Amino acid sequence: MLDKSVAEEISERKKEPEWMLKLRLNALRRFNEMKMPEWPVPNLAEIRFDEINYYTPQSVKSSSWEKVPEYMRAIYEKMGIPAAERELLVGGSIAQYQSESIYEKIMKDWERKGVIFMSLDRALSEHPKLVRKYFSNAVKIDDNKFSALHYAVWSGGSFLYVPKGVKVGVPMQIYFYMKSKNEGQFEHTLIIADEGSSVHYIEGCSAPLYDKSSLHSAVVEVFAHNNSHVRYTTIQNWSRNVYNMNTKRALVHDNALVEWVGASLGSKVSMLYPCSVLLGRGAKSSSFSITLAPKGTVKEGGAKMIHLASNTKSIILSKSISLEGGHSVYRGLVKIGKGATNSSCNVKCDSVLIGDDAKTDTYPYSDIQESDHVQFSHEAKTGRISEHVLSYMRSRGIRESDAITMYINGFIKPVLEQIPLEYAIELNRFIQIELEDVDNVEN
Amino acid sequence: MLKINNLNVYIGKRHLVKDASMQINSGELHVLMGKNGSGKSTFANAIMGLPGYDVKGSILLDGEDITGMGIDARARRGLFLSFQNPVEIDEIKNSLFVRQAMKACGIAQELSEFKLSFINNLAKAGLDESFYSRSVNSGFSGGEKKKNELAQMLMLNPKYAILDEIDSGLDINSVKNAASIITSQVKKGMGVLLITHNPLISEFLNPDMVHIFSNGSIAKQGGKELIALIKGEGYDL
Amino acid sequence: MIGYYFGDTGFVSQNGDSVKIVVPGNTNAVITLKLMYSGSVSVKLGSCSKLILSSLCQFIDSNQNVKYDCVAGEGSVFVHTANIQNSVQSHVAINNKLSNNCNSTLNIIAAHCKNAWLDVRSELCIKTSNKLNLLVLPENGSSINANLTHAHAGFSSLSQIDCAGIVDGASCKIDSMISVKEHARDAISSFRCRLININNSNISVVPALSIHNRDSDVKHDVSVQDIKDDALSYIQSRGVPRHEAAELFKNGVVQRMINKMGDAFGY
Repeated sequence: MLDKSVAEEISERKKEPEWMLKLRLNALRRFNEMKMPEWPVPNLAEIRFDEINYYTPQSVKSSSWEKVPEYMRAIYEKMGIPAAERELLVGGSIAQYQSESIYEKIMKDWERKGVIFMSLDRALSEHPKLVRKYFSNAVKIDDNKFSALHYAVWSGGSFLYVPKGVKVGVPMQIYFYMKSKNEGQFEHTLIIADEGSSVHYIEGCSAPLYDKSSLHSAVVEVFAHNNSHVRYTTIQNWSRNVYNMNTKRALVHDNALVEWVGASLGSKVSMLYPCSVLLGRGAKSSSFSITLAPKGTVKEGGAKMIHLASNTKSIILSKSISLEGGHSVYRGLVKIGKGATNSSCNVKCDSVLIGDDAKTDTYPYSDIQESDHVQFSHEAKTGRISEHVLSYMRSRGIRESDAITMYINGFIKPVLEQIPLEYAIELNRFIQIELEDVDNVEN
Repeated sequence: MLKINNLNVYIGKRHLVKDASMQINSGELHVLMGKNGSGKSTFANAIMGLPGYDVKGSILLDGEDITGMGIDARARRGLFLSFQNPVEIDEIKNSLFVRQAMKACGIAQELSEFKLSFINNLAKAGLDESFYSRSVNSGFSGGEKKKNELAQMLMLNPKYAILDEIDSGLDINSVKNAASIITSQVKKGMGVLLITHNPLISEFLNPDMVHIFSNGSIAKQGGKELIALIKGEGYDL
Repeated sequence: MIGYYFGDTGFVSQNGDSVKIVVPGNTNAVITLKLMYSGSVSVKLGSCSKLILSSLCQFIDSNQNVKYDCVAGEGSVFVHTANIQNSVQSHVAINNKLSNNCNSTLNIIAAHCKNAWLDVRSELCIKTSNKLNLLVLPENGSSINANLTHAHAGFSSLSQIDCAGIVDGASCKIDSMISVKEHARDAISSFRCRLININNSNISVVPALSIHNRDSDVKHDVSVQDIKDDALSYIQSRGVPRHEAAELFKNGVVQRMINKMGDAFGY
């Protein structure tokens, strides 16, 4: 049941300050007032809000891996968390199990430099002023119906603060695991990169397969101050019964750079449009994404780039693969406002259809209101892998399925190159397995 | 021996190749000539098994009936086609493509050995080192695409190679070079069917047999003297 | 006034008119229309017929609406050039229903108009080929709103859309939807839009696609930019003053499209 008591219980359990409870109740009110959007392709009416399990507290909270229960450890071992730490490949890790984090660790070196990386729940009590300053300032409570729901019942997520001038050389990572059916996961991520700093944040998600649907409605807010650099990588592989609707937004200040890199592999329905608001002169942002739409899924993806200052640049590169019975949708928005002189935005969205009954839609919106040295381009290619290309490869002895795989590897390469090697290899393997499942498309 | 028996090729209702038969032994060079639109490329494509054609008749490669086989199966048995219009593939690097193809055809090479070998064969065909890492045929001129086909042929070392208009887009020195590559491969035992509508390349070759295609059928078969006849009187025989 | 037209002829509309054009099968016709008032135009092409239709829309009053309903029979060839000039608050709607094996070209020029709305819908059947060339030249506070819909409903259909324009201190909105239905295999479509943005115009282009058959080959590309400095400098370096250089550049954009359209009105 979704009513005031859920929000109140969460707030009380976490011993939150008054302002946070007020925010939750306000958000809940807005959620009930707002209508479900009609424009998305997937059928959102199937989501049963009253049947979702909004909050499952965890009693385990540890900074020592050995203290984490065996069965939980096994899940994350598979994802490679402890291994990455052992080999000092990451600067910090947080493992979130259902609604809360059960493990968080930040490497001493970075902690000494003033980097703060911990669960947002903990940050709210240990760094209240800092959290209050930024929380919900990038993504407004009623930005959309799902963000309103999020703000009412959010739990878990992470807080990352990088002080002035600190360049974190290794990624900070977080892993999410949804355990039970009908579960809802509503983590909130707050990343603040102070002037001149730089950091790479990676999140990975997973859930086993269940009958009933689960809902993942997260919010990510990135504040990139002057001259900072934030790269946000998401590798999402939710099981086929998850509704994945996230709202990600970055406020990019003078000469700062925010890069969104994403691979959306799983879930039944996904709606992901990372958004960068280029507020400062010289602000830059890019969004590189791979979307895989296997059978029975509707995967919406895209990006929003809003240019509000001069000398701003953005790039959107979207690669989607629709398998048999899958439906991929690109939805993007590029807005170049008045005064954003000397700015450019280039969008490339390619979509390949493999297998019968594969579908794809593209809705690229552009709104250009400034003419002085502004350049905007958008190009897209959609369709099957050309018969000529397949025949050519086969004429050299390459089997059809291998030819398709080779082509797809080349197709996603420009995005894959942005993803750290270990993840890229896993990703590639996963896509390969999905492609093998496709029946021989010709003869 | 590559034996083609009474090949009939249709696209829909159109009968494009009529009862064509020929026999290419190992180490033999055959030349197939004919007007544009006489069915030469259709003949070549059908032998390779490209989609879009209804084929009747039989094709035997070293005694094995390959008529119903898929394109890649035929290639793995030692058949090679140099395309008239090689397709451009932005997504895949030339080197990766050729190495995969060789693997598929059972030729395994260490990367360093492969690199040396491919760059060497590219040079033989008349292309510089940069073509090693460029995307397959992407942005290549017509002549460069043909040279790339030749380089691939040298790497895959097929038993029988069908070369569809390998001379088009090449300047006279490149034509001479292509001819000398073909001659040396034939000497090594490759069976080659060279398709061309320009008698020039034949100046530099010594074909064992010449076939003239007209309106979908093989109108005349003979020796090198047929080429001289065409040069003099054109295709209306 | 309703009439049937056969052979070379011209027609000028009166207020509230409906014009009916019927070209019988296996016939060729060349017709010119000059539309000065609201009205409707219905065009029917018999199978294997050919119609070259030129429409000049020069509305006398503001708020004029013209609706074209065109049905092209099997194997017909239909070339329609619509020139919309000097109108205020005009609405032009063109509805093309193209049968199997039709070859249709629609050329539209919208210039010197104050607020124009354009709604073009084309439905393509089996082996139908449809080309749309659109040239928009809104200026000085005016606006043009174009809604273009192309539905591929039969196999081996082809649509080619080419839009170009110079938006000078004005507003331009182009919404395009190319849809390929599930059973429409081997559809080929390309959408191209090149707009020059001058004097802080407001431009919005949405080249949407809905592709539900995997045997499709669809491309689109859009570019919006101002006149490049280096292009202007290059022209200036040959002695041409800057403002003239800009004019030369703009003329180039217009000329390319006019050439494509076949210069129907000697514009």
